[in-house]
Amino acid sequence: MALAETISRKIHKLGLVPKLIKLLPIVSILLAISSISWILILPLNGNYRNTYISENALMPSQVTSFFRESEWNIVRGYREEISKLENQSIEIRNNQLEKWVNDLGLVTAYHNNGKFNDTLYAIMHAPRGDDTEAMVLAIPWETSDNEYNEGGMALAIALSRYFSKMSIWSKNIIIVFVENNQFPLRSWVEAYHTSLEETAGSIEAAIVLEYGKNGDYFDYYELIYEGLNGQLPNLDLLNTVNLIGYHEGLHCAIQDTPSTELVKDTYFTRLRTLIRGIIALTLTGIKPGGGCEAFSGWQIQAFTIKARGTKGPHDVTQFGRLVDSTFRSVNNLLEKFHQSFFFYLMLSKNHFVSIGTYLPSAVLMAIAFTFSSLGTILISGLEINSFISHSAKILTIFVIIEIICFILSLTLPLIKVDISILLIILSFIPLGLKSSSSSSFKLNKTTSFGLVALSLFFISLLITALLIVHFSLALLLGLFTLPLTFLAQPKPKLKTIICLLISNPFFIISIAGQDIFLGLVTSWHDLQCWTWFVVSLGWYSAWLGVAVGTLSGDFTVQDTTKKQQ
Amino acid sequence: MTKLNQVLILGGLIRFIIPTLLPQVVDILSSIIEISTPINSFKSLQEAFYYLNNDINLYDGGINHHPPVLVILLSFINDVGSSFVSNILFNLLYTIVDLYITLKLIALNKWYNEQWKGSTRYNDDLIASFYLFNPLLIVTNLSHSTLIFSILFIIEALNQLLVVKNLPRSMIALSIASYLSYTPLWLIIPLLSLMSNTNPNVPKAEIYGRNLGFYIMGLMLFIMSSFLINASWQFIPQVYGTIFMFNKIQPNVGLWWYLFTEMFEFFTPFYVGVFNLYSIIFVIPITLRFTNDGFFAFFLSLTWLSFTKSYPTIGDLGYVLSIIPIFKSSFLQYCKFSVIYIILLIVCLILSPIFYYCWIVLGNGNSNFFYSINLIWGVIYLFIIMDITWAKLTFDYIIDNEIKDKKQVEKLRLTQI
Repeated sequence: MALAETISRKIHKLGLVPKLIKLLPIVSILLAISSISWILILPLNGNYRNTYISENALMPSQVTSFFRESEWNIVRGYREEISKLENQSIEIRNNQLEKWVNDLGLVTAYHNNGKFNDTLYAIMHAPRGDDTEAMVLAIPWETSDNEYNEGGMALAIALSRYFSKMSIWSKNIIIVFVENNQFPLRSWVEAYHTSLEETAGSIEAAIVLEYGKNGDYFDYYELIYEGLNGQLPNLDLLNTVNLIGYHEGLHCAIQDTPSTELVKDTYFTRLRTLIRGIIALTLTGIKPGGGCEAFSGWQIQAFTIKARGTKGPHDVTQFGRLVDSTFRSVNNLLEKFHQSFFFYLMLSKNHFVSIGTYLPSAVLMAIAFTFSSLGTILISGLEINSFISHSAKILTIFVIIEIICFILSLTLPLIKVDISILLIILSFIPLGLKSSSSSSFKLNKTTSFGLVALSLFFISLLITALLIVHFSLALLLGLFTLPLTFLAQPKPKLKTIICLLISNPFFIISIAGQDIFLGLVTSWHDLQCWTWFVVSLGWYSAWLGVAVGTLSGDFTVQDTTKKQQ
Repeated sequence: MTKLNQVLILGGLIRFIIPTLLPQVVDILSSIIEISTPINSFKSLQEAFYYLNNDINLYDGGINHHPPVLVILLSFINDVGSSFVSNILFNLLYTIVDLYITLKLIALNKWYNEQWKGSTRYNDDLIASFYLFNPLLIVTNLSHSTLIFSILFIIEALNQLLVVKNLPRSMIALSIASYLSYTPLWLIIPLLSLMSNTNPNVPKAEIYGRNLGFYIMGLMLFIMSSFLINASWQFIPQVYGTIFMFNKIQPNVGLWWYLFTEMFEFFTPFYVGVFNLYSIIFVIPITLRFTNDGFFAFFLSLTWLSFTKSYPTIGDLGYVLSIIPIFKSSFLQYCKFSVIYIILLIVCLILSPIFYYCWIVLGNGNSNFFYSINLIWGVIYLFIIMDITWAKLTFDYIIDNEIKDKKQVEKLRLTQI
């Protein structure tokens, strides 16, 4: 207590408090800059860690996989048959596949999702298990690059044949043949946990397999692992498959690493992977992804592997061995995945930063907004009490804004208008408030400052709320709304308008394109991805609050020094 | 219509209309662990009604932890008619209880602030708004948590003592509160001290002896009638034993649950002892230090007990926050940290359900996440306790040393008192 008292006396003596208050906007900007630089220094040596297997039971690539060249002919045979089915309807294809897997002794069932063709799935009940846990191998008929997934299908059937000959399985294996890896797969996963008759226990891990028309050989494999709403699979699972790939001599690309830079490991490649990872995680569910996101929300660890290139040197059975060895590892597990990390950012396939290291960046961003909010109140030169007496009015305006946004958030997914129209209605019109409503709708100084401060504080709370669940979204939200904090200082009108425009959600979405917008508004219904509500109820309402406060109110800062003289 | 009536009507309507129109709100809220615990949840109360109607012993199965008399009395409402009617009656009951507490708080506010000459107090309508529009208390009320009844009788005990000035009734009210939820038992210490303060003409021994007698009589009466109703002593371990021994290890906003989940079983009795002792021991020094203002000592003890009790909810903090404005004319102006703990409180309220969701639903978090927010919840309590204690001491210092000049008060920088 004595130390605290000494410090507080010192602060009082030097008059630091009023100085700090004056500096608040600068402090806020500094915090925002440090938040960004925090991300930039993560890929530097010493700030990241090498991946490692944390769960000993996994024992990746400790057994020799017998899915080798001997199975190659079987894969080829199935592929030949499947390629003949390319022009047939999904129903006919499913019938053919059902016949094959039934012959192998697997139980099959269909799921009707009401929108697309039926999904066929086959269950291999574990010879040694208690029938309570399962692993899923999902194969879409169409890969995420809109290619006929003949290699993947052939591999899946050949793998089922291979799996059914082994007696080591203690977890059931479910093989899902699905039309594509978007809505139909999500719908199947949901139905599995709610309504399906044929089930095989709780799903521990899932692999989505994509091997298009690559033929017998492929160059390297691509790993996609982002889940919905900021969820990621347990890092142990990714490490398992990567370690297996390493022992197979395969190269792995994450986050769209170009094929020429697979082995490169420099600051810039790590930074690129990091930033792409953040953006990809934010856009999962909005943009068509790898399909592993369909498993999110049910405590399932999932990833997608895709074969890339046709030249080789790796053959198709090696791709099968990735699946086989991963399933063998998961098969060893006695508990759910819990050891390693659930919150991480990958810098390359074997470097990562964990939550404790990257979290401060978003925390700094949240603090920057809090300071900016405080700064708005303190810099206005008004009494704190006047804010308190106006609080009812400020809150009422904010609640009205929130109600408007709530209506928007529900109606926009239904009408699906063009983004450019929305851009004009939802961002330019509020900006035009200044000229049109100066007489009829004018807020007084306290209300407008209060409204801006409240909106900024709201963003800060939003970032805090998303901090753990969806770090990427929190960080990007903070970055995009950052221009709103610059309004706290006296600035020319044009700068205010520009700051407001570039932080408008619909402006940024319109730059990203119409597809992103459609994905955003439909993602809740199709995939239960709530990013749209964060954008409409959080981001846009805060933006509207700031816009109303700055443009239709008396938002001018008096020069306090003059006043004192 | 006066402002007070407006506030009362609006506050009452919120509490009555919402659960009447949306009955599922009660179910949802009473399943949220921050709002209701096994000790005071409405769901287990309904289970108890079912037991009662089907001639099953109330405490079989270990679901019900409500005292028998409460279950019997409330079951009269439950048995009135269809579930729709009884739901409305329950909504009405909870609304009336909250409105009654509000009126008593207003009376207490008048009484307390008359002590300090020339000072202003918050108007009645503000005191009512602080209580009725406190979101923590609204959700507690809507969840139909039985916590509200023990608060009712704690406030009633104060009201009988300070406003009505009927000491035996005050003691009986506190004995009911203690009977309902055990923890208020320890408020007898500051309440007796407050009694001897407000009745300086009566010898202390007489006050202590007689009122303690009333208290014990009241408590015994309830215990014995519970025994008669239930025809067994099973309610003692089930109702009080669970609170005291922390038998039901379920996450809540308090500090207890995490330690007992992590601990080897043979350590448990020792730590149960330590935690209970820690909870009650501070009531005595608080009472001794603030004998000059017994009401404050009582409030501080209540705050401390709701901080350290085994099954706290966010409602407990809600009551504390709604009582603080009563101290307007004494120390409230010297509180310095209110901004910090209000921000902390908001952050806590946002993150706590999110972390619980990460832990239980998504499975990517774990209990440490949720407990970290519980710790911050504790920090909020400590901030409040520290802040009001220091403010009170500063206020007392200013009174004792008769510092009247406002400028001098502003210059005053106390380091230790």
